[in-house]
Amino acid sequence: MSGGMQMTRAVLMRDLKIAFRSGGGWFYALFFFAVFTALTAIAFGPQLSALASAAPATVWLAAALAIQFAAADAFEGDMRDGSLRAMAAEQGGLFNYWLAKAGALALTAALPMIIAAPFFLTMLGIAFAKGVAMAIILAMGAPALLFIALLTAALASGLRAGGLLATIIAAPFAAPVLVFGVSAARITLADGGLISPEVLILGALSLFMLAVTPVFAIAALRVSLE
Amino acid sequence: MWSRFSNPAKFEALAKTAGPIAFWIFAACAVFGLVNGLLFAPAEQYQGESARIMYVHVPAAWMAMGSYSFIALMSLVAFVWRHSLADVAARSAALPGAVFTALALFTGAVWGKPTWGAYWVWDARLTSMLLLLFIYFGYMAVWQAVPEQARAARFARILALVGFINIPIIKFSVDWWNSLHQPASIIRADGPTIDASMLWPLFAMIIAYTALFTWLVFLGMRADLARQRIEKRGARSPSHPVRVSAESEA
Amino acid sequence: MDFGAHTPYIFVAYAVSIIAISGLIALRIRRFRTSIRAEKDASEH
Repeated sequence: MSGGMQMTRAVLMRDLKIAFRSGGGWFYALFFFAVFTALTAIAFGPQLSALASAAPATVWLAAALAIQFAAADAFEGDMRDGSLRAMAAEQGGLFNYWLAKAGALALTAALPMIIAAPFFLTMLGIAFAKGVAMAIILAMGAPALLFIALLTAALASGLRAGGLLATIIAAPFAAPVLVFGVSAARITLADGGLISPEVLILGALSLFMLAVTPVFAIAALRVSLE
Repeated sequence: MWSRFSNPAKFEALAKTAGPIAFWIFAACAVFGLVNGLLFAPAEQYQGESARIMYVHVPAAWMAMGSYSFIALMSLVAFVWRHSLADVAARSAALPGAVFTALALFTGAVWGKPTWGAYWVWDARLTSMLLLLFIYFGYMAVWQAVPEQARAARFARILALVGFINIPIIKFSVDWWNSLHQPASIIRADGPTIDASMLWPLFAMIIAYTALFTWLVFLGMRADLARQRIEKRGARSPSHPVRVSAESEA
Repeated sequence: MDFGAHTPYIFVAYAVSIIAISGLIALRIRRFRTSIRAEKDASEH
């Protein structure tokens, strides 16, 4: 137990150190999120009323794609330098490794985006308080997106043209998260209530993905290692 | 029974007899269903003549889901008991399944034009069918993306099972999503008003598509098994390299 | 076979279904034949 936790923490700290050092990638997902939001505004035109109605969809699409791309090469480095193989040799090693990767991705990709979301939403014509509520909803669903992204990254790590393929594979699985995320955000925008059935289902989706995806992601990593 | 499916030699013998039987069931039922559906079955009372598209739409939709269930079941067998024959079966089912799914979408769209006034409506069933097609694409892409069959099989199993677990969730979410935007507007064949003269051709077509699927899977599996034997032989005697045609099929 | 205004839709749906399924069958048979032939050739060596 403690050995496993130590390993999880070691991998997590290493990944965070890599991400936050100069030239590290912690802001990539955030940048993607910003660029996607700006492009949406440019595509839809500058009218704030039109943008506000598109805002829930924009935020969720941006988040889903940003997390997908941030996770795309999550396993590449460790696969290449053999450290993944070393960890797979230990009892329960890959689960601890998966846990560390999920944690690192949550802290470097999802969290900056969730914190920044209210500000970007202001630019899309959403009042700041509503933007905060929508960011909280995003935080409910982001874990589901993250677990899906990690699973597809694990599958793609052993494939040719893995990145694009991972996105194709992830798309149908991400659809339910988008459905409930966007409708929860719409409900919050309409009447200001934060707790709706949609939000609860969103949380349930995150829990479900947490329960289901690690097994398959670990199995995929094992195949990639052979 | 089970050993017959897991032993390649016994399977080959089974496929040689069962394949042609499946083909003839397909041919007979398809002729019966098409002739009756187009000529003798009455027009449906609400949708009129366009409901005849049902005889090619419903079986395709049935086999779209049926093929995927088969892939998932075979993947589970391969995952748990490590039967490589199950991988071959799952792979052989992918292309027919994707074609059935595409056909269900296409005939649904053509049916939609006279019914809804538009070829494509984001109806819950059409939308989840579209997502199912994307799952098929991902599954077939995985087979294509890994050159070594044994390795590709192990990735494919994982994806097939994850996809199967997610199908009910996708279905649920799309139903929810659709009910927010527009009420269901079409009277479907599963209503209680269907007449026996329409039911028989429909049943015949469903059996025809199922038999067709069975036959195609047997054919695909026998082709794959032959290729595997060639590869094995080629590996044993490298002095006589065997050229296997490069055409590939997921 | 005249189905009034619905005729083209019905014909297109049936025609595309039949063509797609025929194509699928042709593809499978061709692949089956080439594989079996390749195996036979290989065993003659």
